[in-house]
Amino acid sequence: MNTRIFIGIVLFLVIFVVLGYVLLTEGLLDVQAQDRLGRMQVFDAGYSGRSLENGAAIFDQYCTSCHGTHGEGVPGKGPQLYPYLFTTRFPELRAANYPNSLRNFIKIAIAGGRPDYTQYWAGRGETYAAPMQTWGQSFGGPLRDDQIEYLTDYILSWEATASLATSTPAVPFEAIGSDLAKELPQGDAARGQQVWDQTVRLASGQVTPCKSCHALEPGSVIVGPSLAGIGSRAGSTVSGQDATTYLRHSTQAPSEHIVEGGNFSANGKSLMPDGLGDSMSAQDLADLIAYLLTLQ
Amino acid sequence: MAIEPFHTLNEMRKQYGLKRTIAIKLNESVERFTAGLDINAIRGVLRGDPPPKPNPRVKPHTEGAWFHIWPSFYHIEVTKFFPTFRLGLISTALFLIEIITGLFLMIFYTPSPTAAYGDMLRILSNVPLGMLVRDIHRLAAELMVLAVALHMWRTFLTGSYKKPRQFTYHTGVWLLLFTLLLSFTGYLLPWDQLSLWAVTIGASMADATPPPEVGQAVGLLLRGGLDLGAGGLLRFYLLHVFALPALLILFLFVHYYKVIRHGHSLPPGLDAPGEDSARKVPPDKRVPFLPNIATSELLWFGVVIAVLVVGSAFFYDAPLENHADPLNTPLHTVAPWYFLWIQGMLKLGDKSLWGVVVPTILLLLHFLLPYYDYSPSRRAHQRRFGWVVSFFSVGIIVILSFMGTSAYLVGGASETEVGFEFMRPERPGPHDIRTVKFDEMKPGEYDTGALPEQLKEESPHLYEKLESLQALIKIYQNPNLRPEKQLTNGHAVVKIEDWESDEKGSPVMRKITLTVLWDTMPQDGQGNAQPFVKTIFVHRDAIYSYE
Repeated sequence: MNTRIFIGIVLFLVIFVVLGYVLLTEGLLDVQAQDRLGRMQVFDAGYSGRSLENGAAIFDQYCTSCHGTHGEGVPGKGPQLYPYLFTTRFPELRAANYPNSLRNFIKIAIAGGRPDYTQYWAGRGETYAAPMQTWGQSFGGPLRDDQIEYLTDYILSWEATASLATSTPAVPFEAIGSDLAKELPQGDAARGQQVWDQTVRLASGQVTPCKSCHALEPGSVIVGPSLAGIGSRAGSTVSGQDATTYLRHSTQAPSEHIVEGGNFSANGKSLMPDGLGDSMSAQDLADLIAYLLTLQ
Repeated sequence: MAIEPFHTLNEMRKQYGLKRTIAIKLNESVERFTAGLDINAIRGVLRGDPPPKPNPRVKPHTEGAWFHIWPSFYHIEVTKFFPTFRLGLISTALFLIEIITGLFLMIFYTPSPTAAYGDMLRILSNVPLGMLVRDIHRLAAELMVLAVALHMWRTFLTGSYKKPRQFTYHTGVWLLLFTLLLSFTGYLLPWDQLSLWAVTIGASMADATPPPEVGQAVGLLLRGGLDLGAGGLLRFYLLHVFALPALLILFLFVHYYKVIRHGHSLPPGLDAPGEDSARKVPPDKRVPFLPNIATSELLWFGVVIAVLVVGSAFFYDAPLENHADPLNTPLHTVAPWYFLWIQGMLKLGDKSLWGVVVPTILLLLHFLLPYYDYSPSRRAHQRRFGWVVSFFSVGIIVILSFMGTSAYLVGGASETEVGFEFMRPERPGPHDIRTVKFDEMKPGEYDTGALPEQLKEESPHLYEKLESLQALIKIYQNPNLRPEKQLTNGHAVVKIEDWESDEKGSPVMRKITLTVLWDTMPQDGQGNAQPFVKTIFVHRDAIYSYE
């Protein structure tokens, strides 16, 4: 009986010492939680790593074709997420009293999609081939709730570096601005068409908004006049300006000459915005003009 | 002591005084709780006094509910470690631990596909002792299957199922069945890839029940739909936490009570063939339950708990893979280990025959064993046939279980196998790139056919892993393989790219692309060779359950 009592006490001690040890090292204490020492915190960190891996894989599979491999956006298909969402878009929403967190904003956008093409990224003047579809299974999409969580975790992980990304411009470039004297290089009409279609970016990383206001069908007016056949009439519109010079002046200094026969000005100033040249390099402008000249 | 009946406590106090009244009443209460042992008797038990006559220590067995299912004394021969190995007791202990830990886990668990996995994460990361209790629950479940199975095998080897214990054995087979089903239904509940697909395999056996109409109905009934989903999870949960435990407890009581009726079977050598003297224990061979057996059993409980607590705290982690994905079947899915032998049989041929009919026949053979094996002797040398059959069966089960694993006769395309070994979707294996430390995954493009020598010095683990990848490919260059399995002149290009970095600019995630190239790659419509490409992302902080 004495042996049994002894073994019993030893077992009791072993069990409760181990239970106590587990409780103490689990991370319930604030100190452990802060230093991420406890078992719970270690699991948490390890799991969030797995979650980000899953998110990256889902992003790679479903999102890159429209938003780019690192969320830099694909012209004409989908807007930039990194860093624009974190540095501009969400702060704007915040300023407009958007009542939700960034995390929820991302989740809602993924799960529920977008109702239209331009509203959310109107400031960039980009248009896209189709609005974002609904991705959440609750809305008929392919992704389960947990997959949307992973994806949101992954996209949110960019937030830490987003402010750094804008402080150094991705592509340094020299804007043509309103400098009408600088000589333009040889234009590439094919690239010019892509610029027009917004499938390639300007040197500034933005896309040109021309087609938002100018239609290419004869007689169609969106805001500005139709550019159908502009290649054949540009050279004879303003005396003393050949076609290239006319188009260049129209772009860099739109109010210099206002097309008659339409409501294209207000207070003697063109409705076409100033400063379009600020986002273009000389090459961008040359390419765009070369394309417009092909429109016979 | 005889006490005159009093009508009120006050009368009693007047006669005996307050102190003695309290003592008497206390004694009565204790006696009621212990079903017959007063305070003095309990002290006698604890002191190890010889029992007085008449012996009050048998009263709990005759008058109490709990002790009713234990005999008041054991034969001294069955209190030794051999031949019982305490397997029945250990099974019961494990079952009780399962109930306690299971109730704990139930508090934090919701049986729904949208919530279950999140609840598992919460248990692991946010519930005090949650990880430990889950590990214990899982470990005890595996051990319980093992203990119950071994208990039954021991019963067979000592012939304890023979007359008069046929029915005890019969209920024991039911208990084994319930144990297997409990473990199997619990397998699904974490709702991760491991559980979903292991159980999908198991549950698909139900579909094979002949005739097809019945199979379809059984499958639908079990899963609550064509696939395992919300309905199936709820059904498995209810089976796991209610129906099966209730049945098991009912049968456990019958099983225990039968031992009182017939006594523990003595070691086979002590009884003459055909005789059973377990009920006629001579007084000098009796070991009283109180206190000897009770303390011994308590100690065994303590041992089991200590093994589980220490094992779960330091050596065992219950696996948790990624969230269940019904659209994505992992390569090489296997059933839980105790059903691997059935999966092995399925590879022999017809699903209905090997997956349902044969297991059912085997189960029936076990149920009815004591009724068709009527040879009286329990001694090994007189049951050579039975022993041979028994060991032969266990051997076959081991072989079939091996055949059930992916090592046997399963093989996708060779390049897929290589990709699987190098980048397992869930738990990294020995060849897995993820066993290389994150910091040692030097970005670059490495051709395993021509590994740069300086890599060996800069990053020896990565070099080693890439070498083992080439060795993997080499396995499929064996000329004995079928031509379509061969990766002739195969080699792989592994590209490691920095993918994400933190605000200090140090990398936190890398993208790893594996491209397997060989001479006879399939071609697309334009005649371009299509190498095998697989991609994973590796995060610095990620921890998998194998670690």
